[in-house]
Amino acid sequence: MIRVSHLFKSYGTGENKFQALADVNLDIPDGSFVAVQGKSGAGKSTLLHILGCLDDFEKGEYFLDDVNVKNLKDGKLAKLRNQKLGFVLQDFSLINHKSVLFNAMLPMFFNTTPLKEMKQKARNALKTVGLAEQENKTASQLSGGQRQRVAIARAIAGNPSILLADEPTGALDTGTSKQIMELFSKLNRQGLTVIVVTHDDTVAGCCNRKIIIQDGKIIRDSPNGEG
Amino acid sequence: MKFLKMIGNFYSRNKLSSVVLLILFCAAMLVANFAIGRYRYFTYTQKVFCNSGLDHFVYFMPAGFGPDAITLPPDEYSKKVEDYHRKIKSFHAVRSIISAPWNGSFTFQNAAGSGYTLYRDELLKAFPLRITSGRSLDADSNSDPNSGGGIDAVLCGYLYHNIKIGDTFTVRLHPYKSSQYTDVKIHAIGKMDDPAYTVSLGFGGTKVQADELFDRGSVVILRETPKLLAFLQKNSTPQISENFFIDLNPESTQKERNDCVQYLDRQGRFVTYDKIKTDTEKAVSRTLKQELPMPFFFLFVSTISLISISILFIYKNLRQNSIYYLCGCSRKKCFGYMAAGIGLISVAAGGVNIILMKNIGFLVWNGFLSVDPMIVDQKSILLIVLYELLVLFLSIGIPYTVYRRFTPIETYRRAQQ
Repeated sequence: MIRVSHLFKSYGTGENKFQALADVNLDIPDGSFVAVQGKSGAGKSTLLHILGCLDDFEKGEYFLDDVNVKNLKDGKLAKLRNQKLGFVLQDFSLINHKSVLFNAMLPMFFNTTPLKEMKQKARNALKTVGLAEQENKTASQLSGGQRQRVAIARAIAGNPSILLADEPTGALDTGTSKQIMELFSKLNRQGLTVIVVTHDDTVAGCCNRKIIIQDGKIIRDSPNGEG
Repeated sequence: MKFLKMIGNFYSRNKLSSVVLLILFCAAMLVANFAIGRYRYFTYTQKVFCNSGLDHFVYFMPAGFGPDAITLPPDEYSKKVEDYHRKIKSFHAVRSIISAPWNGSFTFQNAAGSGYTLYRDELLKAFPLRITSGRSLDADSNSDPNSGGGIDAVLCGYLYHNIKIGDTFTVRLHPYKSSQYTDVKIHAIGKMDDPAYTVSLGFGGTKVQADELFDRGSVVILRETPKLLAFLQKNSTPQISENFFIDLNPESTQKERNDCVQYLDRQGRFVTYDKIKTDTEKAVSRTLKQELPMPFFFLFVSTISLISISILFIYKNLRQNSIYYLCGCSRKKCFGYMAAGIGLISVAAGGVNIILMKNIGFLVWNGFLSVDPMIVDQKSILLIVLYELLVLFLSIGIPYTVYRRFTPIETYRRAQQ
C-alpha cells in the first residue's frame, strides 16, 4: 500500500529553482495497475523515483506499507528497495557483459537469500518472462525486447510487492511494447502492484487506473475508461 | 560467497585495468619501500648513537700508538691498548670507559671473510643490537666455548641467511702464531638482517660522525666474558681498536676533570658526545638533501598516479554500481565491494613487495639486483600496510565523499551520461 500526502519536490535553488512536484496526494492500494501520464517535465518520473525510494523529497509524507520513508537512512531505504520494489527502466539498466541469469539474480545478492535459492528464483522469473532458454547468454547478446524482459525478470525475481516501470516501452517497437504490457498485466493479475510511467496512451490504456500529472500536480486520477 | 562473487564481478569487466592497477601498486610500494628504507638507512646510526645514553662521554682517539702500532704483533698491540685503558681509568674524573669490541676472524663453511665481534654488557646496553629475528645477547647467554650446545651468538649479514634461529654450526679459529686450528660451535639465538651494523670505534679524526663508529658486514656477535676472551686469545687473533669512550663523572671536581682532559689533549684527540651529535646531524641533513629528493619525488608521483588511477577505476564502475542501487544495494555496500576489490589488488601487490623485500638480500648477494643500501625489515611490512591503507582510504574516500551527496537516481543519471 502506497500513501503519499502533500508531497513537494524541487530541483535547483534561487532563480533556477524548479518545482517538480507540488502538493501531491496519492493512495495506491495493493494489486493496482496504475499508469502515470504527463508531458515531458511534468514530474511523473520524479514521482516514480520518490515512490521507488531512489530520490528524496522536501515536504510531505510517504508511507510504504505503513513505513514512513521520509526518516529512513540510505541503508534502510536500500533494504526497502530490495525487499518491496522492483524497477524497470527505459534503458533496461542491465549489466551487459554478465549473463541473463546473473542479471536476474542481482537483487538477491544484496539480501540473505542463499545462492542456490537465488538461482532457482531467478530461473522461475526468467521462465515467467519467457527467457528460460537464454539464461547463459550475456545481456548484450539479446534484442531490446528481450533485454526489457530480463529487466522485468530481475525486478520480480525477489518477489517484491510493487513493480515500478519508467517508460518501459520507450525504446521498443509497437509489437514488443504490446508483449511487455501483456506481461505486466499478467503479473498484476498474480497480485503484483504495477505502476507505469508513460507518455504513450496505448500503454496507459492497458492499466486499470490513470493518473495525469501536469506541472508537478495531479490534475486527474481516475479508473481507466472514465474520460 | 555472494560477497566474493560480487568482488569477482568487479574484476570481470576490469581485467586489464586490474592488472595495470596491480603493477602500479607494486611499483608505488616498491618506491615507498625504497624511499623509506633509504631514509632509515641514513638516519639509523644517528638514531642509535643518540639513544646510546653516552651524554657524559667523550670519544677518545689516542695518538700514542702512532704508525708503529700497525707493525706490532696483534697480541702485543692489544696488550698496549689494555694498558692504556688502565691508565685512563686511574683518573679520578673517569667513572668508566667503553672500549671498542674485540674482533677476530674465522673460517666458515671453508671460506674466509667472516669473523666475530665480542660485545661487552656495557656495549650491548649503549648500542643495542637491531635484532630482526630471535633475541639479543644478555646475561643469560652462553659464552662458554666448551659447552656442548655452542656459544650463543647473534648472526649479522647475508652470509648466514641459511642458518635458522636455534641452529648450531661450526667455525674454525686460526691462531696468529701457529697453523693449528680449533673448531668452535656457534649457537644462533638471534639475527640482524643486512645492513647489520656493529660498533667498531675504528675511526679517528677531528670530525667524527655516528656512522663512522660502526662497521657493516657479515659477523657473528658473541657476549664477551673473561673466559671466552681468554679462549679466543689463545686460539685465534682477536684485535681491538685503540679508540674508546670515556665517561667523565659530572660529580667530579672541575680540577679532576681538567687534569683528565689535559692528559687526553696531550695523548691524542677527543670529541664530546654533543660534538659528534651535531656533526652527525649536519652530515645526515646534507646526505638526506642530496639523496632523498629523488626517491621521495618518485614516491609522490607514484602515489598520486596510484590514487588517480584507483579513482578512475571506481568511476569506471559507477554505472554498474548505480544498477546495484536500483536493486537494493546501499551506498556503503557498493563502495565496500569496490574497496574490497581494490583492497585485494593492494594486498596482492603488498604480498609481491613483501616477498621481494624478504629476498632482497639473496637477490643483491647473487648479483640479480643492484640497489643502494637501505634498511628493510618487519617495520617495512608495517609501513607497506599503512601506505596501502592510506592509498585505499583516499581512493575510496574521495569518490565516496563526492557521491554520498547524490541520491541513487542522481548517481544513476550521472553514470549513464
